[in-house]
Amino acid sequence: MLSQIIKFIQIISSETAPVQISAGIALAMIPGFTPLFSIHNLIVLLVLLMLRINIAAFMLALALFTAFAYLLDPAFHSIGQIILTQEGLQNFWTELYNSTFWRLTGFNNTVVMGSLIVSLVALVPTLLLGNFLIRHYRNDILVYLNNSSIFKAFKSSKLFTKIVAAAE
Amino acid sequence: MKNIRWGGLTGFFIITVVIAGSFLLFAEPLTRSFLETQLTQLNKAKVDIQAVDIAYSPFSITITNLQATDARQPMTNMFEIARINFSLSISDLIYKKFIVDNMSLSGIRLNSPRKTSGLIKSPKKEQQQKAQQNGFDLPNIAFPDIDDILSKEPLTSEKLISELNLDIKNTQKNWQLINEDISDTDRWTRHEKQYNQIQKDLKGNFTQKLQAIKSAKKLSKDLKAEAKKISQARKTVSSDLSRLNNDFKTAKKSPKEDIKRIKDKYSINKLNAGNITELLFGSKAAEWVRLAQTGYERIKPYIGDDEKSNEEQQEIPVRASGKNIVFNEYNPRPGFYIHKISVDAITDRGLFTGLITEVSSDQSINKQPTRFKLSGKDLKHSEKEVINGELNYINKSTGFTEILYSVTKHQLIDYQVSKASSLPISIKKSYMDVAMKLRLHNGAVAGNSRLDFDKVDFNTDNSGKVNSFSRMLANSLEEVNRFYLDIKFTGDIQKPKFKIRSDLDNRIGKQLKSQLNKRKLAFETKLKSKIENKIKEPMKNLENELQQLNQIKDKLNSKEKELQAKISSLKKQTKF
Repeated sequence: MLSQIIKFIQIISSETAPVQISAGIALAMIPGFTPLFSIHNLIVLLVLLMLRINIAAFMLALALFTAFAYLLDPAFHSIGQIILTQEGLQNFWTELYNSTFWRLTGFNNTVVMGSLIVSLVALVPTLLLGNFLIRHYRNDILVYLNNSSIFKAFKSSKLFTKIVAAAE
Repeated sequence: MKNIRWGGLTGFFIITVVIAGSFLLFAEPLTRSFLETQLTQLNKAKVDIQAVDIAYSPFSITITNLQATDARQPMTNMFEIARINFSLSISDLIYKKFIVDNMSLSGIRLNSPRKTSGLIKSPKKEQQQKAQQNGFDLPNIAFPDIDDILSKEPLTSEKLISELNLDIKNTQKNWQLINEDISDTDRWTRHEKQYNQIQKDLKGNFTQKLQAIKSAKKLSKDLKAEAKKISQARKTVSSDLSRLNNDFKTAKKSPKEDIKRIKDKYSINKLNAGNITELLFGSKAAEWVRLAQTGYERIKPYIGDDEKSNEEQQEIPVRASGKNIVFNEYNPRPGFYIHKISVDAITDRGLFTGLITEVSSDQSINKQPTRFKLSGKDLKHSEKEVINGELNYINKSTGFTEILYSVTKHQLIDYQVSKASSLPISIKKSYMDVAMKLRLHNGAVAGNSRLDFDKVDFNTDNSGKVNSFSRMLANSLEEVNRFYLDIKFTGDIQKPKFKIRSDLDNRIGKQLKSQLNKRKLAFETKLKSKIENKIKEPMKNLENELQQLNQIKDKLNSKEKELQAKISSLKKQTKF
């Protein structure tokens, strides 16, 4: 757990563009919240590998979101049920249900639908919020810490070296 | 373009190709393992598959050597299929539907031995116990020894006689005073003298007459007192005698009660030949019913139980896996459907071939019942054997399974009817025709089976420790060379009731019943005679005692009459 936190601090403190890190975090939300072996996660993998997105940030966030998903599953189930049983959408869902490709996606599953909708809705806000927070961290918090004598002393201590070594 | 990771894109495609390639490479062992696991769960005993071959154009699967263990006999295969071939639609598989147009099952063998045990859990003890139940208990119609019964059974008649005897003795004691009183000759002679004197004086002079009247009044008063006393004594005696006579009558009837009680206690009336057919073939029929139940249990998971399938359709949302919402399908199809299965099965009775059509997991969708017909010709021990039937669950509430089975000229050799130690019975040789119709509906069974036996040669070993009934039965059976059995099944499939009818009851039953009734009658007569002999002497004594008492009563009566006559005479003579 500690090593994960240190790795995350290292990532957000690195030279990597904030958008690449926040994109990794936001994208990880989809396979993290939704059942892993779903067709849409292949698209996520394609996007992850194709675009310059920080994979380490993605992996860390994936672990975090997967853990959260277990707590959120009842909520996803309820949301999915509401969406899939909407009167006005019945024709649309029936059309998809009779399509081989969409059946493969498992869209008619309440947890798949609920979690996918939640992660897609939260995707852009998470990206923007992550981007904003990383920038704020680098420009304000990290600068302040680097100038702090206590942090400087801590950085030069053996304890810090040990923690970094343990994390690596 | 600088934001695109070309290496990553290439990597993605490489990963995809590797995954797809691995799937194709391992598809056959994966399918084999999947099928083995699923079928083992369904069969509740190990199902082994030697190989699965998948062809992709057109998409078809060939399963080689499928062995399904008999859960009750882990070292035996319930069936073994050498080759199963069918083609599938991949798009239907994506819809999670197993749709097959034609399937061929060849080289089916039933009850073949296994090299290794196919047990996945131990069979229920109950079933083992059921399997062990065999044979029947022949009624033991040996009559108990009468002397032995009479030596240990207290007889009501004896008790009554003894009580009555005591009562008579007490009565006699009570009557002693009365008897002595009426036998007091001095007093009665005195009264007689007085009476005679009065008679004499009445014929004398006036003074004598006056004296006579005076004496007559006194004597009349005395005699009235005597008459009153005797009247009271007579009433007591009459009441006592009436009671004693009643008790005597009861004691006289009591041997009948004793005979009835003894017959009840030793179940003499319950000794009967019963229904010979049920006796002989009841346990066998029960065995056949158990066999049918086992067969039903085996096919139940495949034909589906109405209630269960309804329950299964109601998916329970699991937190982590959610719930699959079902929408209308434009072209609805059952989850599992095979249009036609051609079958050839090699059994120990010979080769059977046939067709099974419209096998479906939900007949309400394809609107066709499952039908099957398997027939064997020129078989080892039969001329012809046909089994056909219909599993109609198009409308689940009225769904039924109907099975028709017929065998022509089946040769029975050394067929064990009963293993009962009291009389092992087997059919050494016989020809049998079977016609059976069975209908299952809502867990209830209704059906009948007619078995005609011809050229029967019964083998009854009555040399061992057999009772008299067994001996009688064995002798009668040896004369039978033709009979039929008519078995009717009704009720719950788990506990069906069955009635067996046969002409054996007419042929053997009447003869046995008549013999048995004769023996019952002889037993009763002997018992009656023994009891009567036992109480003959005490009854005679009682009769004598009662006679003596009756004499006292007669004496009292005559004395009372005599007194009344004298009183009346005195009254007339002293009337002036």
